[in-house]
Amino acid sequence: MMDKMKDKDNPVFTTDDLHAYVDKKLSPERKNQVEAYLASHPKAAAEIADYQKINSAIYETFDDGFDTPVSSAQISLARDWHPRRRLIPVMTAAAGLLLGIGLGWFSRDLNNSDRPYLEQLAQRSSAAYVVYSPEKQHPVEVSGSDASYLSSWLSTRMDMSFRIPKLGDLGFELIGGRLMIGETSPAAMLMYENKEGRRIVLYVRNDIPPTKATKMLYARTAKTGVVTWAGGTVGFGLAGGFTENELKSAAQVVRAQFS
Amino acid sequence: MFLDRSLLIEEIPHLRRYAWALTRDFEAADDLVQSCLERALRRFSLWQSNRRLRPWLFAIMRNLYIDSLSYQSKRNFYVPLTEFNEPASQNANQEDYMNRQEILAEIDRLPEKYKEVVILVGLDELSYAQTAEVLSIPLGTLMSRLHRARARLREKLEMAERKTVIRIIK
Repeated sequence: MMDKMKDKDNPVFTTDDLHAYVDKKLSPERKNQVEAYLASHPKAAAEIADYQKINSAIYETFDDGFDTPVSSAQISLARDWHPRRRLIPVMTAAAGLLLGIGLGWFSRDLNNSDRPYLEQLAQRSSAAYVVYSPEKQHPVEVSGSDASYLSSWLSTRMDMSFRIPKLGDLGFELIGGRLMIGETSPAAMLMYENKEGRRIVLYVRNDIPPTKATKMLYARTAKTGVVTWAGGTVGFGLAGGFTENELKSAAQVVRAQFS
Repeated sequence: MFLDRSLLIEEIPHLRRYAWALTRDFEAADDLVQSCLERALRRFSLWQSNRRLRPWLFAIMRNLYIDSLSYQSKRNFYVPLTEFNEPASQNANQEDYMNRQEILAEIDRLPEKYKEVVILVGLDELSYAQTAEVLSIPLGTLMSRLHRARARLREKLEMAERKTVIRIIK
């Protein structure tokens, strides 16, 4: 009987603890104590085992929830829904303004309608470069050593086919990638490094308003140059301490591999 | 205030499991998930980011489901769990399947307030405190219902020694 739970040698358990054991909600230490108790109390152990059977009947009946693909209608609802009166995210606007001031202006001949997205992309890409490229210990979240894993992870999280561009011909090796913040869904950053240890960062997001393929836009800050472009709902920014020509030719290579 | 939509998208499979458990019908469950997302997005400014997203969404979904019952025919309530449990395709699983069918049938016979608790806990999506929050009952009530529900199931199923040895000890 459970009254024996109150033995001097045994810690005291409540009914709640035992259900919490069944539901795997105990701390490892507490769990060990319950298991030690059950080892010498077969009736209680049998009861616990029955409760576990009840639990797995329920869990397994609805298990497919994790295997069946989520309907794209639901994903796009969650991703694209906008309230009629949209609240302006004040912090984002302020951060953008600060970066924008540092960024100076942009070069000519773009469609005006493309500009806001490309400017914002330049700000985000530049921020990603400034924050992560100096990092020695943790420049990336997922190492580039397993590029196919990185590709499938980012494809899933960004809801797009995410190929990892190869920049080996330009002397850059992939270090890895990390998830970043887009506007309404995750964005991604990939980082590459050349033999001299100079780094270049590719920022990608998949939540811009659909647009035709844009030209490439170059911008420069005190710390980095950025080339941005977009097509469909995907926007790109390539940032690093290189000249406009160097960045643009790298951007061409990236663009070719994504299309 | 700022909704990271990817967080919401990640919750969809979890919402769907709960919707299946509530409706026992794939199509109705999809509709329920859709309504739940819409309501959550409209109300997002009311969500405090220090609260966990999942219990908030589950509570929205449960309320929507209960609301729908007063309009729809009540028969939704009686779609048995056993109909939802697809037959095992391989003989090796046949016995497990039968055992599971028995358990599900007994769960269906529980009074609504016990059934709801044992199923939501069994889905293993939430902490106890969050489960109590979703069901709008105190934590103590949740735990005593959970115990009563399980003890009753065990008795009905004539499991093991046919006797519940774990008594309520506080």
